[in-house]
Amino acid sequence: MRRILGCFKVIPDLELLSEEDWIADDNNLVDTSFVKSTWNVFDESALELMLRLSEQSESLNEPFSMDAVTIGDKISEKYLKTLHALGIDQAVRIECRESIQFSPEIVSGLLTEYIRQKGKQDIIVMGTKTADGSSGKVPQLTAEKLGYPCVTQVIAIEPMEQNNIKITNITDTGLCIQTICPPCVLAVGEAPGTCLSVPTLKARMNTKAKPVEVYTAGQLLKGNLSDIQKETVLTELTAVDEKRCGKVICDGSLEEQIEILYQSYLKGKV
Amino acid sequence: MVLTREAIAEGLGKIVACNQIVTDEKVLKESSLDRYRKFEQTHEVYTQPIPAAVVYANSTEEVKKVLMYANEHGINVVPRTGQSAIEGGLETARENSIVLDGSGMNQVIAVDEYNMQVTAQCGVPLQELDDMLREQGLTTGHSPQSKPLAQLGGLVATRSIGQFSTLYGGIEDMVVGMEVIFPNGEVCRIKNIPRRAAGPDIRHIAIGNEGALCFVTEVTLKLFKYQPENNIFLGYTIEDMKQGFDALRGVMAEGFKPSMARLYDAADASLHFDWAEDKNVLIFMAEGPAGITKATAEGIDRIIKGFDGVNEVNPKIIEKWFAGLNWGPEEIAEEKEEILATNNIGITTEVSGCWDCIYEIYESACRRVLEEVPDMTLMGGHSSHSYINGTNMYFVYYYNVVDCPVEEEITKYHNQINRIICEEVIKYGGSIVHHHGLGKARAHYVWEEYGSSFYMLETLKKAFDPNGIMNMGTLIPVNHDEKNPWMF
Amino acid sequence: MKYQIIVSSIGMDVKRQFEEISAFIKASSLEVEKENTIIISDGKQDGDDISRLTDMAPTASVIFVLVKQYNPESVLNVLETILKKDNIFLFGSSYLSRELAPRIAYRMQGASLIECSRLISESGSLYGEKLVYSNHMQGRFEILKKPAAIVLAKGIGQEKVMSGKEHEAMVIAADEADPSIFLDIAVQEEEKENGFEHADFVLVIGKGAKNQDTVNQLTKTGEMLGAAVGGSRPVVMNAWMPMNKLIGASGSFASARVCIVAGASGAPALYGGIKKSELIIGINTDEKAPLTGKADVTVIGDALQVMKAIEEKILYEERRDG
Repeated sequence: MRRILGCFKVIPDLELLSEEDWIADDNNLVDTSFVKSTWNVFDESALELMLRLSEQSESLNEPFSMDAVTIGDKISEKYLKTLHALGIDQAVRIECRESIQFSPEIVSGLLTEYIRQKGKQDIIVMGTKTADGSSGKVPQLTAEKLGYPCVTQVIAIEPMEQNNIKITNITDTGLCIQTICPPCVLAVGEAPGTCLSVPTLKARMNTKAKPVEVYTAGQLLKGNLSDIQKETVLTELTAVDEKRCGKVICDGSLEEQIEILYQSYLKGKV
Repeated sequence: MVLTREAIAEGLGKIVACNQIVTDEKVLKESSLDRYRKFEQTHEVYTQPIPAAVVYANSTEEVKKVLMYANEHGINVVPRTGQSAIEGGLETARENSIVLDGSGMNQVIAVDEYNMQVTAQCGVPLQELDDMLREQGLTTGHSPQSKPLAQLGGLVATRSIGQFSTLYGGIEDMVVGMEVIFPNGEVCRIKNIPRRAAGPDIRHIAIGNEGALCFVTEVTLKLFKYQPENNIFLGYTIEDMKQGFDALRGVMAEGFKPSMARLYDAADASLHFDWAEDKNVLIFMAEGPAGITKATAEGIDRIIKGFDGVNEVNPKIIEKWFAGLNWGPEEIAEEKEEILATNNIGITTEVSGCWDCIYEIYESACRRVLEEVPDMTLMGGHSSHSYINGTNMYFVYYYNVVDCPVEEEITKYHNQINRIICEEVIKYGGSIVHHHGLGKARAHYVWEEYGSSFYMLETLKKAFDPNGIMNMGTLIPVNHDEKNPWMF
Repeated sequence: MKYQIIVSSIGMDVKRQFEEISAFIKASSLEVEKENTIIISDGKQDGDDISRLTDMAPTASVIFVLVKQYNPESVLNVLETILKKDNIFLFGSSYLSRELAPRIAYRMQGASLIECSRLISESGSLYGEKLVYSNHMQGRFEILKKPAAIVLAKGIGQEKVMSGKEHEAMVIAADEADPSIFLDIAVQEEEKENGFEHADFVLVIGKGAKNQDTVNQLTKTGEMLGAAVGGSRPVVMNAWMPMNKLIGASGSFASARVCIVAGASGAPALYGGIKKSELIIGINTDEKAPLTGKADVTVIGDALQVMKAIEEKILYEERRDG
């Protein structure tokens, strides 16, 4: 049976922070402890594409088993249980005490070790980048470490005969459609209409007892986390300040407002 | 003689300017329903009769003339302002209706700080009014979740209630005087006074009439001092839901008046809080003068900690969460994308009951919905408006729409859930609607809700709307299948 | 240590990439020489174009990496042979660059930084700046290894290329994709939306337009005035405009002389796509919208009404002058 692994990150819902919350602490992180978590949007799309691929391949009599993995703490268990209810076979979390937010090397290193140790995956799918760390490197580094080809900006995946898959991805020229023979790493980009399906309560009840597997980074790397060489390190974090004049034209009739706008701003420019 | 759509538009053209009449098909379709039919709306499927025209009235005189015109010709009129209705109140249930929109009447007429009153027209958006008042250190105290969208006319007509009601009350406690217009053209002004005993309180004919009796054109609301610097937030998890209701009761019965007192069950809590971990959540906010908020917070804390299975939550988390609670156009657009992508939809139904039955209502409704309705993905709710003698229950539920054409979703899922909730509420003696309004959806249970007092509601309708032109189908249904009240 | 410049001519404007890289180098003010320019090309150019592109290049030495059909694996294999371990690789902003840079850096045991807006040299260390936390925060990252593969952020701005007189071009053909892995590849070329990047005048329509009809009317008004018209994310996700009209993160970036934002609140994702514009004019019904503080001037009013009034005024003035 072919295997597909969806990798995802649970992040704080950054839209819930207000302007005054955007301050860096002494560890060069923003305090998001009070904010509700959510799926990283590109990972959510990746997981949904994985579900669709699995569903479609069932009708071709060439099923995929689906696994999911995240590097996260207890908060991610709720998400893993949701994935169980959606039909994922093995939902796994890897605990890492070190902050991984700006460490794509550690993330890709852990994912690679997990895959090497826990069984070959035919397709590894994940989002193109996270909203918080935004390195945009994890899928590519994971592909390099595994020695697999990598396709980025994927927006659709379909099963084909003979274990191949058809991938649609966005390129600088336009849409690319290619048939690939796995194994491969797929990085999912901006794919409209790929919000994650919602499991029914019955499905949740049926999978409630299924345990989430937990590994530690130490277990996977056999204590050699420090062996993973970092390429970059965050040394400073500052809030983006983009204030312009902020003049407001609100008095007078529309005609008067447009006259001011034209004379003071637009004249000669348009 | 029944007028054609074109004739209606033409007739209206003699009352208001042409650019105040909209007959654009897309606008008319969007004006034929409200968020009760959220699934249909998201898919741009329109099952209700399309209105003949949307008329934007700019003055009391124009509202009066349009109503009289409609009354003369037997044309159904749906009054509208902010378009945030969610119970079918805005559905144009009759053929060739007129949607009479007052959102153009958007002037704040007077801010009277000495008498602590503000007078404004029906089309004033509440967010704008309150933001303006807050800059002056004042507030209406009214803060429904629809605040970014809702306008005063609709807020009064639906008997709305806001997030701080436990301190400030509902709209009925905030309204001072008003101006309303009846279909026969009578323009009635009720003056601004603190209280009177000169017969029954006639304001209550208009407050909550949901457009079935009259059109609210102007309202005066009380003002309060805005002192957010004294706000204190409190949060707890509590293991048992019944104990949670008892905890709320404890706070109210002891005489405390937090501006916010909420109990979330574990299911609803999981939508809002990561840290809830399958427990129920209690949230309070004390608001007002410094000494009072301090005493309120301390008193509540003492009461809550007297219950079993209680754990405290960092108040900062509650404060931050609360800041992001309201629904504006952004959230609605995001929600639409999710519904289209997943076919999963979330809806709410809010009811009320006295302390001795509210838990039973909650428990049995949840149980029945999960047993009887297919494809449910979440069923739970929260209490958010408490009184000395009881509280509300705001059911929150999500379901997948499976193997079901868009037009049938409402019968297969939404109306069934409403029916079950209404049945359980009636059984235990609660009210089937706390603050969203009967609309057209729960109008089908109006007889059960009112019992013998239905005579009073029916007589009001016959008296003030003898020709049956005011938002027909709202409050009292027009087509009612007694055996299958969920099919309409 | 020197710069090696890597751009793509596959569906991309090479001149613009060169100008962005020049602007980047200027903003970074590093005392580093340029070594050569690598142009990844799919041979759709004939001989003339190769010489035209060579003449445009900011370095004397130019290497064309020729692919029949673009495939990252084939290109990476060639890059490994022509990129040097001690250097900084400056990649033009493109999907191709974001795909290749981390991989080539890893293969060469170096470091990569994607969507970098500036490089800084301080006390013997090299740092790169980029936006993180959904563009709300700017991070400064120390680049710990060499080579350093840097992919430019979108919307850097442009600087004319100081191109020398003598150029020398070399062409290396990349192998075709391994047919046992890549069974077939077909690209549906999309009409290239150059409008935004080069446009002097851009109109962005936000969710405040509320419906397709208003979006259509605003688009017409904008086009009448010669604006390139795009939309915010909610607008394209509602299919009121096609996806390729998206402005902001994941879409196009404008650095116009004049950018009007009609009916959008100014969230960072959108703002990032317009902030390089010289003049930002907001039109919003909400005086408290975030955009008000971040625009040069905001007219408070209905988007369509105000745009139509602007159109009338501009056309009137044009007729008067003409």
